[in-house]
Amino acid sequence: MTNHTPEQKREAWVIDYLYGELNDEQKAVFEHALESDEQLKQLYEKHSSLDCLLPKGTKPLISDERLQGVRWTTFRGVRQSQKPSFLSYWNNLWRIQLPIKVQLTGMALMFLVGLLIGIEPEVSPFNENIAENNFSESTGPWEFVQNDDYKIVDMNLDAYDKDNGEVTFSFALASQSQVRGNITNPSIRRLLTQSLNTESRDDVRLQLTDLFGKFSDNQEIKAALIFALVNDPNPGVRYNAIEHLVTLSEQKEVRQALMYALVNDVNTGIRVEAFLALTENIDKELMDVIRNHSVDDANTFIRERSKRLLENGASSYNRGNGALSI
Amino acid sequence: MEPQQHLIEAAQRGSASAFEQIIIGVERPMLALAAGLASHPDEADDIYQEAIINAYRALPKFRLESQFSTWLYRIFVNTALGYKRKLSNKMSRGLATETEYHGEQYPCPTQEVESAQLSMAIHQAIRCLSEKERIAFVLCHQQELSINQAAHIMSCTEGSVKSYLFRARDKLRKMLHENQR
Repeated sequence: MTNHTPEQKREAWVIDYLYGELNDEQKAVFEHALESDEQLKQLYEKHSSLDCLLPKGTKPLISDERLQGVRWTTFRGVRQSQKPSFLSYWNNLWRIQLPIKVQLTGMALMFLVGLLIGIEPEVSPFNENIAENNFSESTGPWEFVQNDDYKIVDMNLDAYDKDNGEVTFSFALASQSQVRGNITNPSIRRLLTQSLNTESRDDVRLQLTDLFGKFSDNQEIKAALIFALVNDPNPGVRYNAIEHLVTLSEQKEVRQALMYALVNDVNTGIRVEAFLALTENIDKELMDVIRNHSVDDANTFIRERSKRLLENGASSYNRGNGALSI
Repeated sequence: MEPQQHLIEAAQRGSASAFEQIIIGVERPMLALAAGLASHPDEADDIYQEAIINAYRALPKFRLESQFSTWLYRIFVNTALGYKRKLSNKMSRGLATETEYHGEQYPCPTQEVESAQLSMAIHQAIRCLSEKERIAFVLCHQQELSINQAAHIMSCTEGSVKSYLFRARDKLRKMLHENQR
């Protein structure tokens, strides 16, 4: 703003005053000027009336449910954007350099070579006698793809000419594969734990958390369950996740996730589960959280139980290991 | 709002978990920012998601001596502007405006029966501002940034921000008082 006219100067001055841009001395000068400058006074009164209707700092309301849903989809997007997929890499590389016939021939050849290399029976994920040490390093989902079950998906016509038939397009190949194996197989486990964090269908994520139950002490599965507890938009998935995690509530990273759920989850059932698991071993950090919940928690059970714990807490605090057993 | 430096450094090295921790600390004000910048409530979540992914991609270029929050605000503002342009290119605005309109909900100073109406009036009034006026208003009034920070984010002078802000306030005041009559 070029403050040339007195009117423009007044406007800038009012804005400075309303948005706290003036120091105490400048404020006093402004307030003094309000008494003598009628135009400034009118301008200020007009503008300060907006602050009654819409006070500073009034933001759109963001519900917890909305926040949780957006968080999940956003983080899924972040994780997906982390690495370009193998498919899109080849798609883009070949599309730029080679005609479609050469691309398809190359794909077929590569696939055959892959099949020949991967035909070793010891490393097959379909082997029913699964022992973790018998498997080689995972090559990702490609390992489970059959040679004749590709489908063309996400077809995009990038450019075409109706008159001469020239066309440029891109597509992805998807494969519907059925795998029979055991979750102790690292390849299968990795695929399924990744799916829990990226799959969009609620029913599938529910089944996955159900399946993971007895194996939650595995590092990958534990990490996937923690991610689901903290981020999944579906309360059923989060509940399944917490049901399995409570058995590991003495572990630091699990405790942090449970603490997060206790403080932030909108679902009472989940918060109660977190509360019960955490209070089996009370430490100082938890005491602080409980102190807030004894007053603020919307759930009567958590509130009353927190109060009782605080009342009994001081007497049975175990100074030796920094934990309190109730 | 400034995240810990070690988290930023880890995220710059590609740790999605560190990045997620940073974002969890700022997600509510940032989603409110996206809701304020969006022309239509349905766009807010998309702008938020796009901005966060843009931030993750751009993070390796972030210089630690800069302020993270200002950098993130800038990404949000640019994403919102880009989103709007993308939409107008696709000519999809026509479709969106034909659908039933539900504004973002704003907390009202008084808990009266007409608070829902006022909330909608506020969103509609903000929506009528020009792009620059809306950004200046959202940054300074809703997000309570200083005029200097807003000028830095908007890549303009402080005088320009004051001018946008003044015009925005003037328009909003007129529209909201009209709505109250």
